[in-house]
Amino acid sequence: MISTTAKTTSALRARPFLGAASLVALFVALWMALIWSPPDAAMGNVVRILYVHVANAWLAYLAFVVVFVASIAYLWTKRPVFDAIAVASAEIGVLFTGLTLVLGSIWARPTWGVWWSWEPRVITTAVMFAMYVGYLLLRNLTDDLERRATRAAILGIVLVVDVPIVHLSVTWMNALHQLPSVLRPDLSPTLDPAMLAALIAMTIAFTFLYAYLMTARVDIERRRQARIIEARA
Amino acid sequence: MTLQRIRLIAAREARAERGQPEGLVTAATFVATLILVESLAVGPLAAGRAEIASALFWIAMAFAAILVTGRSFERELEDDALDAVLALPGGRDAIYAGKALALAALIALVAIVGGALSLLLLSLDVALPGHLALVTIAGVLALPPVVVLFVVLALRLRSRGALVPILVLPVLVPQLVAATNGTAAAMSGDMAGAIGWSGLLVAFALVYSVLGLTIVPAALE
Amino acid sequence: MGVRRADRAAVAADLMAARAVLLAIDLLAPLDRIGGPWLPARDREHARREREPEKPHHPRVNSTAALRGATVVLGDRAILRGFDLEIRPGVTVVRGPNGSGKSTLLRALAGLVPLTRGTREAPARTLYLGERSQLLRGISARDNLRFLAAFRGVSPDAVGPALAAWGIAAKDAIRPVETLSAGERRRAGLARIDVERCDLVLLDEPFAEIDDAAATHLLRTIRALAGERRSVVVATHGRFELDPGANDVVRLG
Repeated sequence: MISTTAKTTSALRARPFLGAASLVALFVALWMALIWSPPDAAMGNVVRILYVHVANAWLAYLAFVVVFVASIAYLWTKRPVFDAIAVASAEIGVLFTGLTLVLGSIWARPTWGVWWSWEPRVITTAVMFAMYVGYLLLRNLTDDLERRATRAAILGIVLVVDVPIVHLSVTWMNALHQLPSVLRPDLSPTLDPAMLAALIAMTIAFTFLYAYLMTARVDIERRRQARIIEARA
Repeated sequence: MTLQRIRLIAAREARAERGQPEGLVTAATFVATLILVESLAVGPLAAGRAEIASALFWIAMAFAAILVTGRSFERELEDDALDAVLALPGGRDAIYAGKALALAALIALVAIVGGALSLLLLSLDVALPGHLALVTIAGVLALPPVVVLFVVLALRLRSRGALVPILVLPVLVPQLVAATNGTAAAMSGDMAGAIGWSGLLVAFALVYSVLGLTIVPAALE
Repeated sequence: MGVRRADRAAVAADLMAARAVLLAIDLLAPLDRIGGPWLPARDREHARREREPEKPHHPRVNSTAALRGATVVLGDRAILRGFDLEIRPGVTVVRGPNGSGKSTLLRALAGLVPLTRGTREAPARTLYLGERSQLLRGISARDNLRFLAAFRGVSPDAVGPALAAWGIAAKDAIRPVETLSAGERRRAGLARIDVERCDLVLLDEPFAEIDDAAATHLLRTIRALAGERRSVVVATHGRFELDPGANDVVRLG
């Protein structure tokens, strides 16, 4: 462990509880998803991947919204803690987005017969993945602490504006080319209540996981920042 | 006052490019080469189709925009010319708009060269030349706001030559989609489509201009 | 009843303390007017002056620019740490070994470097001339200076005579700057002093790369600026002839 003068915050103290909560919630959610909930009328048991896939997608969006908010907060206050939150959330977001793409691919194969589709949501997710990998790349190539935080914050704000724009434009393009509406990887809103329950449980579990990972990663970043700031003194 | 400063920066950029046209020449050559090579790779039959020719053209234009903008800012960094502008009151605020305007004009020149070449090489039929011009202008307006923003973000970083395309291309997906579809529509006679996609491109240009104007001053040191 | 009396006593004590503090501030106020370099100036005339056209300096204000508690960090090093500096009309010389932060200090005054901590006050009409010529390649020295003058809102008519005064021949002034020698480029940059008549002129190693004739002209220019009650900050190695006439010789490192 890097020892610094960084204080133990309330977030850190909450971490073991978050970890335990994540584990418990994941167990429960996985049980509900894999065993308890009924198979889908059309897809059969393949639908079970969607619980994790959709939950992951939502958490990825949440993570990038947190990046957006933390970026604004950093530019407003210039406090390094917001930069730490931004980078932590971006990394976790990239992880979740990658998982979303992989799980979506795995689901698509038995369902549509293809590994990939040019459906708007798939494209947007892939582009989002590329964008935030670029965000992390920008951070890695900047040495100066303040300069890195400022530029990353600006990029964090710009990218959130981009995502809906990308989605809209791809949707329009597909409408133009009349992509068959059969290929919609939707869980329809009129879901079986048990399936809805499983989806919600999975989302809650991943939210706990996100919070747990955030506390860990923000702590690491804060210690790194503290070390650099102490080295300057 | 700010409008005059923006105009001054744009004029300075145009003069500098006239004195040192390497950026423009490189971009035009690059676009021509890329279109040629891509056409050869997909084969003349496929390349002659409106959608594919459009896509090849606009991807080449995106890279050309990155090239010209990158060169423009490299020139600013030689002899610290950028510092002179940043140290002046109003410098930080005027530089984004001034550069974006100048770059739009330069990219328009590249588009003329690349477009003429595409039409000739691939013997493309253009059903609606007026609408094609409209889409091209809209596309040329939509690229600089994004590219200038990202070149500024990556300013003075090592590996910025590779970083800027990596950052910019995903963000340019909507513009490339709109420009490609709009150009294809104009070539195949779809008037409503061409106008619709042009409108979308102008909307993109406005959104990113506003974003850039707000945010770029904070990024410049 | 007893509670209320205790409250009144507490309030009375607070009032006395407040009065004591106010009295202390009033007693110490005259010290500000003695105007030592380390006490904060209370007037914010600078903000007002930024919006006014060029006028003679208000007699009560003796500070053109200042850095207060300025900390500048580049990479992992703090180049300036809690730095206080007040610039007054006249010449301020900054000396120090290479890497001691002279350039950073001037850039901080120019507003080109963000302060991690502390504040900066500087007039809008500040001219920063750094180690490089700051001229854009591809265009001529004359066009560069005309652009900068127009950008600042100053008449570009002074450009031609200024370039001539600094030894740039008319035919050289209209050629692209990359065709000029390094010394000529530096002199063209220095000509901005005459064109953009600024209240604060920051010169970073201006004597490097110029010949003796230009150096003499520069010394004369600096003294003239001081005579006009403008502020000049010069970061330099030799040139000790500047020190006797200077307000302040700041030593870094």
